[in-house]
Amino acid sequence: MRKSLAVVMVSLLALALVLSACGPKPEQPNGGEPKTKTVGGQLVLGLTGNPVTFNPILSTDTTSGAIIGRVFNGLVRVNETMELVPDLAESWEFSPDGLTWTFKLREDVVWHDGTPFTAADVKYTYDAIKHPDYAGVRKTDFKPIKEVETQGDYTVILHLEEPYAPLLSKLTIGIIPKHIFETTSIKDMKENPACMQPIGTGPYKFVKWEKDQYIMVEANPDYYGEGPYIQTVIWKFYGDNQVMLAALEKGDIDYMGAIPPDDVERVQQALASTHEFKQIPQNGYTYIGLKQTDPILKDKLVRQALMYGTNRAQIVEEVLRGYGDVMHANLTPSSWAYAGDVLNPYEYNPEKAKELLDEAGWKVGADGIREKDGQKMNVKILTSTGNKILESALLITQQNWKELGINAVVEYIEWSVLCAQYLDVAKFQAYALGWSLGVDPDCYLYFHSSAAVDENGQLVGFNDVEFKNAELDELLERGRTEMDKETRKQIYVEIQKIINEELPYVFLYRNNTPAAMHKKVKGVVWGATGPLYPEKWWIEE
Amino acid sequence: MSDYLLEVKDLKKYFPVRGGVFSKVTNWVKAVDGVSFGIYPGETLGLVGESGCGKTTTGRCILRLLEPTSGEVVFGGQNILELDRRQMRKIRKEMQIIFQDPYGSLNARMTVGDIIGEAFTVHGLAKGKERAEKVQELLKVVGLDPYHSRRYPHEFSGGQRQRIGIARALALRPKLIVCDEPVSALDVSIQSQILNLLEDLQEEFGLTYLFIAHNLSVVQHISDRVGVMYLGHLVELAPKDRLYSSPKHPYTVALLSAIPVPDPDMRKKRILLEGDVPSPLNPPSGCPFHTRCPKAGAECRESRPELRELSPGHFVACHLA
Amino acid sequence: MRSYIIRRILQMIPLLIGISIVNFTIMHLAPGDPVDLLVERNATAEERARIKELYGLNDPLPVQYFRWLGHVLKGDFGKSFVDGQSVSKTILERLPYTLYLNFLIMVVIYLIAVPVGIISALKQYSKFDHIMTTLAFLGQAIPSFWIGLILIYFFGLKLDWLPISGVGTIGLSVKTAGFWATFADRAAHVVMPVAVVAFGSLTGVARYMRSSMLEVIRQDYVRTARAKGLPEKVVIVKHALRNALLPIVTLLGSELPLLFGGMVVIESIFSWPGIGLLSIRAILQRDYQIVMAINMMGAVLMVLGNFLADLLYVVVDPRIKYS
Repeated sequence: MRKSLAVVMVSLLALALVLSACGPKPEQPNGGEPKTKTVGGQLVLGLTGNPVTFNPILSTDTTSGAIIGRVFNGLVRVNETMELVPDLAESWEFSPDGLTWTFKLREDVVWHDGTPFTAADVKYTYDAIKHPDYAGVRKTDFKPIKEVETQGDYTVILHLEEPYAPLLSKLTIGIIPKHIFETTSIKDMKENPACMQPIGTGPYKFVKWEKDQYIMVEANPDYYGEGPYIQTVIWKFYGDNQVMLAALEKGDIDYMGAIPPDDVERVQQALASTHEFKQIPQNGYTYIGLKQTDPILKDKLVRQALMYGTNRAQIVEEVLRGYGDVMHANLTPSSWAYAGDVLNPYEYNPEKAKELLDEAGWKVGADGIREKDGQKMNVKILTSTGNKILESALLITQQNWKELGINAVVEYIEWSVLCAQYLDVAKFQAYALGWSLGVDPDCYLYFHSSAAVDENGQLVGFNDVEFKNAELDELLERGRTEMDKETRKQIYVEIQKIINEELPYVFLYRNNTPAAMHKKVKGVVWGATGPLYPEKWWIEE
Repeated sequence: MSDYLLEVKDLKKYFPVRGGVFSKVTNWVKAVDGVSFGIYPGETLGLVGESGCGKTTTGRCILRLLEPTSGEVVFGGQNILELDRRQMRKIRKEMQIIFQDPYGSLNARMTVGDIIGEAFTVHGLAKGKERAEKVQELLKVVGLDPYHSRRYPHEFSGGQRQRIGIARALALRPKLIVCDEPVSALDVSIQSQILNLLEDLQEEFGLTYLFIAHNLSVVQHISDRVGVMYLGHLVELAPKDRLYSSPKHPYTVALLSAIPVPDPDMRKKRILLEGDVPSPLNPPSGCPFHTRCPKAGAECRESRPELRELSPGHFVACHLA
Repeated sequence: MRSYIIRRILQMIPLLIGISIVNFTIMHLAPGDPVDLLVERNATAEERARIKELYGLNDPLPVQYFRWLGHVLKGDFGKSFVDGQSVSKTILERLPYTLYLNFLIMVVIYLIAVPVGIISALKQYSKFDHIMTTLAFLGQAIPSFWIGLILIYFFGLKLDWLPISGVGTIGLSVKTAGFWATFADRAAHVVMPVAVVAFGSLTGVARYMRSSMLEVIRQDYVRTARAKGLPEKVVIVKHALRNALLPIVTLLGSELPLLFGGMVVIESIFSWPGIGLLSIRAILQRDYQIVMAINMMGAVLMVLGNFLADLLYVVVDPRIKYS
């Protein structure tokens, strides 16, 4: 039984309908198809970071990602409900054992320099990532691929070591042109001029990049899909968020993606007539990681008490000013595998928290701090400097925990020190940070026991809290090898339930950052994690 | 007495003292407080006193390098304090000054030739080659070599620099030169050379000197008459011999006793003044000297003694004299 | 004099090597490296270790240093760890912007500060002097980013007189808009950054000028000049000012390296693509090659600036001679 594309598509569609109840609704562009879409015009976007490279397989930063997304295409792309839909691949099928994936490529795609796009480019891209000299960070993602085979110019077959469902989401990575990059060795790929002046297949062609000033792309008339309508897109660089905000108000830029929460109200009033304000849900969350082997934190009752005893709703209301959601487990509402209501919401209940702590044997001492077997209930939370929102959230947490009789101390450490001396060697009692998540719900590297610390004390994956649960291990393994999406969803709901019950972390919140888009920009599709399909936007002055 | 070349009448110079956030004037330092005297043409008047007594300020006020608070400075029958800037610049040809510090008084960035010659240019007296010749002549007059005119001040010793300063002061052929402690900064061995030079020049050019010094021994050598200042006041003024042989003011007596005597066998009673000079910010009432005067009585504390002529030409401001 | 110059230049070599060793060591002792900071928490420890090996970041420090020194002696500052671009090219791309901005700032500061300082000194304790003193305190006390944001808010946003960031309007050039329109556009963009920095440092230079002038006008040679019967203007300009400018000239010499250094705060507020922005980012990313190149450029300029200041002394002050 081969799962054809049609089956995949139908199941995706069904899922989309189910999810629309809990996930953010995809916006319909102004009540369906408009009559005319204007071609031309210029869109100016604000940019705070400095792009590092426009090579999709080397890039790790979101700033570069914004430009790469318009210039390059992967075999698949993410739609408004975070599902994978065809892009350069027209269709694909998995062998029943999940070891052979066959992709049929579009035949009407050309690179921006006019060279036809073929299966050789796909093979080159994936082989480059698997090359020993490859200097990017995607190697782990592509490890399950044993071999990339091409059949003719338009068929790519991936041979896998073992079934690995999350791989499909990794194929969103932009395909790079073989004929351009084969002139440099894989080791020196970074130095290829095309990393700075990219040649892709996307709706927009790179024009120029004036460092720390602006990046300009223009419409690609040979683009294979619908659009693009807007002729020129410019990212203008701003070194300071407040200045970017002023630029938005002045009309220098048409879109700003992360308005500081404190300024939203004022700006919203000032620009009500000209701009549309949206919340962009972030597919990531902030949490307090709890070392599972710590004498205090190893007790599940204590961890649950911390969850009950932290007023997370207040943090979202006051610190994020409502621009966020309380998190209960490790997947955000943006994901198609989000468990939703079946999770224990741990609503703020200090009384319950105190009961749990009493039950765990931690009694309030003379100084108001709980103690057990002569040990005081002291918890040291490490965090990095420079994140104002997290700092405020931890202040509330610290106060909440104090009321429970827990003496929590927050220590602020510079990012690189925090990484090198605490996180990378998995030595801490608790720490507060955030994860940004991929499209696939797979979280093997975060919670599988084999992703914890090896016998040499080396951290293998990201399981620095050393969470170990045999049932979860088994589910995580199944989640990776199971190819059926509906079954996978059930597996990940189970995983979330276990995590929600066992609590490797105190889950805090995820941000929904406020964004503003000028009303002259039409056709914007607001997806689960921001505006989508820029090639379909147009400008109506 | 109109035969004075220069007459100073009730000269006062008060300096403001500032304080507080806005630098408001909170008090006055009475550096010179009503000084009167005259200088005859061709004579040398010595002006002596401890540092801070106002003698230097008096010298600068006479030349209007400081603007006096009140009083008159009559030079050649004219009160120069009434002159405007242009008239004043003209009269500067007639009165010059030699400063104490031979290092600070010469602009380090100018050659000796320029320092001396600048005045010729400004007053339109000479320029070009003629100026250079005049400068070289002046250098010869003060005992330097003509080729020195191309050098910079730092290339000279203290005594040589003071000669340059004298040459500069002489350049415009002034009638009066205020010598503001011209030898105090020099080695003792050089001092007499400079003093002799000044005496020779006085003879040659018919100069009149106001010679300011802080001890009586230097003045004794060069002066015709000597005035003694204390805390902004002139306390005694007399021809040199009279002053040195029969000083009338207790302060003058004390100063004289302080002159070292070259003969080691000669023993002399030294009068040691007790206490410090009172602050001119807060001068004592009555006689300014009464706080340190060994003879002071009740009257001295209450009223200030006026300068009186005890014998012809001998003036003293003391109730007890 | 010639032997002095040669000696000084020879002395610079060990000095610069010493500086480079110290810089290199401090930078590598700082926690984190380009790979860690670039990938943040997106890659496993194993993957990061592999990339570090590729870049030679696991070699002993002396090996890394001599490899770097070897390249530098051949005139090659290497390639950025972060984006793989030539370091010299990256710096040269930005240098003109930094020079342009800082040169204008210097000119404005000195053109205003010197006369203001002179007037303050000549009219000590006057209203003008008090106002300048107050402004000097304000200029040094108010953080420049705050002034920057205030100016952006009023002149950029509320009054809409000036552009708020960047060096020029995108797409506007001599070719598209003609010389004068381009000139006006570039000038409008530079007004606020120059004003903010000038306000911060101008008053300091003015105070420096004031005290220098005050010191000089109390000198006997200024009295001498007056006693000569020189007009007041000549006394002030020829005798007092020339001497009072001496320390200012040498201050300029020591500020020369700053001209190339760029200013982090101003460059990031006004999105000015200069060295300051590049260096702060390189430091945060531990982009060793760029940090080293900028540091060494700074060190060379500092050493040369001091040397030039010393030579300048000889020109302006006849008392000083080197042998």
